[in-house]
Amino acid sequence: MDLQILKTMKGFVLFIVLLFIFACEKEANIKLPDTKSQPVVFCYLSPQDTVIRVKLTMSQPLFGEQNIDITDPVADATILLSSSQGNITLTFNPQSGYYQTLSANYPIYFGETYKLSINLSNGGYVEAITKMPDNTVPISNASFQIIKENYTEYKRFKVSFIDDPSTVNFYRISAIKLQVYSWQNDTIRTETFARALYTDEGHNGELLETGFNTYYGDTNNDSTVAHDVLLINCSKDYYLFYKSFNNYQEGNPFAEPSLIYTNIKGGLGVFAAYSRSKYRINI
Amino acid sequence: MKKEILLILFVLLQMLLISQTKYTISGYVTEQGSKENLPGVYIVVPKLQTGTTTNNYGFYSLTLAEDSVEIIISYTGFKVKKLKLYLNKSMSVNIELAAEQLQEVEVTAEQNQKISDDVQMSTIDIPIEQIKQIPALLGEKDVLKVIQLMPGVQKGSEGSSGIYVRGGGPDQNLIILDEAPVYNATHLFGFFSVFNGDALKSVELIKGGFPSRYGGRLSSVIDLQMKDGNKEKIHGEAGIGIISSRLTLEGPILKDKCSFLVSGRRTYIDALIYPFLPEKNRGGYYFYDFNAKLNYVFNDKDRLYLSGYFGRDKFYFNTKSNNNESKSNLNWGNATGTLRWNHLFGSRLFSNASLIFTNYKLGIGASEKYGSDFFNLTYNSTIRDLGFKYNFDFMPTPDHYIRYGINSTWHYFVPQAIVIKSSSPSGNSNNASKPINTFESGIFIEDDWKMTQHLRGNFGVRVSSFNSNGDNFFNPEPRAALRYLFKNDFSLKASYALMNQYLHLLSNTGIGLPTDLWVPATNKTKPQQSQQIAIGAAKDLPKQKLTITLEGYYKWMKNVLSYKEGASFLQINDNDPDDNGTDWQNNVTSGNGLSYGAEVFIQKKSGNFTGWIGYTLSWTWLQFDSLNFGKRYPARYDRRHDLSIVGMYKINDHINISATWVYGTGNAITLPLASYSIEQNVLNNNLSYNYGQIVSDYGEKNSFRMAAYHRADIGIQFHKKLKRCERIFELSFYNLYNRKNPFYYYTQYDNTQNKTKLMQVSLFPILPSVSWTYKF
Repeated sequence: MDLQILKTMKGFVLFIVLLFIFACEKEANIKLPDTKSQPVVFCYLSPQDTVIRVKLTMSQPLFGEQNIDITDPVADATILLSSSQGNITLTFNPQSGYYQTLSANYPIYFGETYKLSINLSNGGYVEAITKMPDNTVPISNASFQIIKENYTEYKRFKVSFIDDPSTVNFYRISAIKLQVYSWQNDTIRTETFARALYTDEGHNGELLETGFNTYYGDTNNDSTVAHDVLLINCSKDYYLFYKSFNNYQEGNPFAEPSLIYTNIKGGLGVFAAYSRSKYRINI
Repeated sequence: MKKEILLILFVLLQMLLISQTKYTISGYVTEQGSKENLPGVYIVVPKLQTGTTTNNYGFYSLTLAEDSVEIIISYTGFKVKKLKLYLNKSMSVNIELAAEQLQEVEVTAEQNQKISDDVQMSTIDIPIEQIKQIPALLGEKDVLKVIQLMPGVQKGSEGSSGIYVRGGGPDQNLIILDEAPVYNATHLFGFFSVFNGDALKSVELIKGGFPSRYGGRLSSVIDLQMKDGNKEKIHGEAGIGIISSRLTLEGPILKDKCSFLVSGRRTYIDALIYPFLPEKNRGGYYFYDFNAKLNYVFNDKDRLYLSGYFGRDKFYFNTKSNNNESKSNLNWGNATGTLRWNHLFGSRLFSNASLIFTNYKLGIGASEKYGSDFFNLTYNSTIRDLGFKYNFDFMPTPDHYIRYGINSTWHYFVPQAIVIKSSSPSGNSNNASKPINTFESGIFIEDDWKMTQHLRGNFGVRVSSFNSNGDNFFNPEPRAALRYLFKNDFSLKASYALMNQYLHLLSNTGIGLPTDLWVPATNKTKPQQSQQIAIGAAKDLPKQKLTITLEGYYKWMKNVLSYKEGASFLQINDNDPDDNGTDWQNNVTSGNGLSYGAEVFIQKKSGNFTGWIGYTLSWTWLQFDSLNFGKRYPARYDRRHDLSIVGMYKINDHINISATWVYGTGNAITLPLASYSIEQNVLNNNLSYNYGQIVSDYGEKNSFRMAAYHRADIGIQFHKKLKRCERIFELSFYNLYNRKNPFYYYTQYDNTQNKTKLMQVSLFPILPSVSWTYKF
């Protein structure tokens, strides 16, 4: 439906361009932004993870020479994670492409503030700070419903939980589908990739009921045994990053460009913390 | 309560009058030969150093003590008239003014109308005759584009009629045509305004210090009055231009009693090219507009005016192949209608009752046929107003000019309605946002008060209210303006105005696409509010026929609306199961605006050489909690420098030349600066591992400046008197020195050089145009 309107709109844009046959294109004769390649840092801390890891890459300035592989990890930086509990240096693992350490070496604590300091081999330095939420927020109840629409189907999840009244909270909800096939022992876990985000703004300490839809074509079959609904109590950075990432789209001439959040001083990316709780819905 | 206060005030003033033995001269000032009412005419009594001006309907009233008085009546472009009277009774004096011929009458200093005398600041009257002389894009004379040449007013993008006044958006302008608000004042995606200059009598722009009789928008009032129609003889004007033709006819139905005016305009590119298009792919575009007015003078006390406007834009595109046929169209347009009744209660109280209708509608239609399968879609968005206004002008003494009144408007909105029909039964749907009925009211009183010879003020208050689906808003709006007149026609002025706006325009692009959506204020999207302080100085140089004004302003705006980042008018939110998917309220966010600046305006209104220089230095900031991460950023139309120079020279009776030059700082836009790879936090298997996605880094919002805009236009008009008519031939050049001004930028990767380039698209090169006008 939207596509049809967009098609018509595209017709117009084409028409406007045709109408102004005088319109001309040329390379802009204007001083271009002098953007330098910046370190790109991603790190999500969680007390439930067994490994702490940091991804470090570089950005490619749009104007100027294109000589940076933006997916290529930077291996020669020094990365220090610190808090009131002490410091730890994360070492680069060439197999995974991450700087990492086992959580056992450096447990992540609720309510703690963490700092990530990165010294690059070229003398550059970036840092970021995040605060781990105070606790894990359990899910009170979760259910889903299968919605059939236009020859396909998707699921509508409903989730309820009691908000932590002591502080401002940011939440993300997602779900994982568990499938067991008779010919193998492993459970296949498929994430719904839902990035439904909520805050307790105006509802502090209340029982919150919310939900999200999965993608079109998310059908269950005989192998589907359960769904794990995940409630992520996350830092504000996490929330802001995902909120901006959810809105992100390129190439829509009718929308304002959306900016992606960063809390990395001197760079891009996000350093965030979260704690998750799980609620299993067996089928 | 308020009504009672008004009543008491009214009675007190009446008593004040009865206690004095004074007499009133009152009447209408009209143009000789057509009996067209003239608004804004200065009526001065030099001996008493007092005077008044005619109102929008050409009515004046002066109450003076018994004496012999000389009255001077002056109006730009007309011969000054002097009247000598012995005032020993109240009398009705209708005055006719004759248009000025080439040989000018020398006007002495105190006779001429003066900007330094006026209490109203931030106001510009735009003479219609000048609008017709200033060269225009493709020869289409355009009121809004002339307004864009005024200081404090900025245009949007190249060729656009969008108006940005003192940092406000195009939705914040109250554009009223014969009292009826016009919701989308542009044709052709903003390139031309809907106002046909042939049908207009006067245009006034108010940028600040708003009198309390106006309300409902934050940033400006553009008050357009249609001509009443010649009451003495049939008169017409026909024009042929590059893209459109127009015809205006006016004349008496009953001499001196009843007259009419009809005026129409239509583009014809589509009709000309249609036969040459292949049958498989046919498309086109046209717009037309039509103005009509009828007025009837019952007697000196009662007059009736009926006026209407109707305009439409339509774009269509049809394709055909063997068994496939598709048709699509987009159309939009305004219709307005006003019925007004002027009535005089005695000679000092003028009243006008108006019944106002306005309707704006946008439609998109698309249909596809494939064999026996079909698919049909229609999208509609509507706003319709029905309003009533009852206003009074009360002129008890020359020192007070009191206006009061009420108005109420019922707004009916259908922001979005989508209907789909198709041959597959599951494809049918009817997805309409609920119609919204809202009710907006205002009550106001203001007094233009000459306190002393030097000090004059306009004080008023407007109380506005709005009811939208059970959400109620109620706001008092104080307004004040002060002027202190020094010797030598020099004055200092100051003003304050608080404005509320209960309607929002959701605009993605700011270029005036018809897809912009009007929606009402609700508890989620609160009414917009602005406060503006302006101070200024005004100086008249009567010998040089120059007026000079200098103004500074500071304006706060709150609850300004914007689409969320990434959202557009078709956005459907999939994540929230409680959302019906089309509620616009979920796609918008509100924030604050701040604008401040200074304006210089030097104008020469009479003589063979006329024109003006307008310069604006300004800053405009926006701050939205959910845009740019809460940090303030420059508005797209934040323009540090804006300069317009306009000159018109009448060489002789046969030849006029005119030229304009404009310069403006480039728009602030958001440009991609770099690309990088995102690592998501994926929650599977108790370990977060990451999936990548490549995104662009834009830096901060609107941190890039487009190249500065500048352009010169020139026009020459040849007037020739033929047997029965006058012919005007005009030749004009838009963008005389072929400046390639940027319309928009995009990035393009050049793999031969392994680098990304910034490409610029410019719309109009030098564009010559010709037009012929016949006046009979």
